[in-house]
Amino acid sequence: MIAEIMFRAMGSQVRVILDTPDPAAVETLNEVPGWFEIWEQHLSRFRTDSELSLVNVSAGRPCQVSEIFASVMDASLNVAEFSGGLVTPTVHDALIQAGYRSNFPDFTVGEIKAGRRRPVPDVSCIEWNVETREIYLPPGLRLDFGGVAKGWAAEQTANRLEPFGRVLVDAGGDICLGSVGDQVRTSGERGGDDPWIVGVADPFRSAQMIERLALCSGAVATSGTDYRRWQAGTRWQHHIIDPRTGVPAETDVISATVIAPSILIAEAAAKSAVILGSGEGMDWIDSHPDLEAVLVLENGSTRVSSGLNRYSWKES
Amino acid sequence: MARTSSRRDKPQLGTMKWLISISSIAATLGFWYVFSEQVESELDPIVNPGQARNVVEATFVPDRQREALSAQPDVSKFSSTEPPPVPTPFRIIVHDANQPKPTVVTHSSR
Repeated sequence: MIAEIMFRAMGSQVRVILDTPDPAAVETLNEVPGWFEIWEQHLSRFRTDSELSLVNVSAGRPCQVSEIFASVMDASLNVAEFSGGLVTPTVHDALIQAGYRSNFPDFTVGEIKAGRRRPVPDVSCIEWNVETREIYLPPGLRLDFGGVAKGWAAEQTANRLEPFGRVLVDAGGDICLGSVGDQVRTSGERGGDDPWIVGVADPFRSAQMIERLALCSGAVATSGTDYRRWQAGTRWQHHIIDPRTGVPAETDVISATVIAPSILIAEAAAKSAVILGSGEGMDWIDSHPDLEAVLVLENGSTRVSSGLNRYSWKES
Repeated sequence: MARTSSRRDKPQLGTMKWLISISSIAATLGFWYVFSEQVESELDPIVNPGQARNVVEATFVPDRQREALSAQPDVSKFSSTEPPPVPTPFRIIVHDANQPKPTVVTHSSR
């Protein structure tokens, strides 16, 4: 039996699909929107009463955080390390400066301050004790977990539902397939005889796909400047901040799709590729043996990593 | 000349007395107005919200801000008691066993 649930959470459309022999699993699917609501109450910067907002206003003083917050904080620091600082929770004020003050789909452009280009703070300025769950933000520093929170939520959902069968979690286009830490398996590998088919959307024609992937585990995430963008005067702004400049990334990549063993890595790698641009971005992807990518450039051309072919799905 | 002067001084003196009297009355009324407004605002800010807001902003808000700044965030509500889930509209579909798995699409976050 295949059952699926769809709802909106964390500013995105969420879809969870469960391939299970157990009819009772549908009851558990009913609980998923509630899980996301709880996580959002901890992690959203758009809610003034969220735990994240409380931690942000406490900058300058140490405070203890919940286990959920601690888990995402850890994930966020790991992602920052993996990406060499390109994906960091310290971009909060740069996002505000760029006008990203309210969440989608109810987004309205906030006041855009004249873009002074300066790097965002490094995560090393955050004092974080994982054992006591105590955090200290320097005065004035505010955090935004961004895609890490959504990826973490997708991963948690997959972990909770996996006892019922095979699970796919699509959190606004970032897709988690099964166990965390699994190697990405294709249909030709062990345990990979019944793959999920994941289409890669064409950023210029959203109803069309530029590629179809066959995957049994791991994750796929796409990051891009084709959505969550807004106009400031004559210039387009978007939500992907380059931490090196503190302003929206100036890049020739309009969307980057990455296959990785986990959704957090996939999401961070996709964002990093956008920030770095097609040349440096693809070199960076190729330097990681467990990553594969499709980059769509502003000029309409496509670049794929050397090992992507083994995930391509050809309809027989 | 003296008489002429005298005739001219009399009206001037009278005018000055009038002016002094009016000024005194105005000053007295002004003083009482300002004083009563201040007392009213301090004793019962609700009586005149517009005036009270000015007074409050000038005198009490900094204290409140200091209290707010010195207070620790209430993270206990997150660590011990999770907030109740707010009902979220959702849709569940159960597919036929013979149907192939649905295709999903990856795209930039939306």
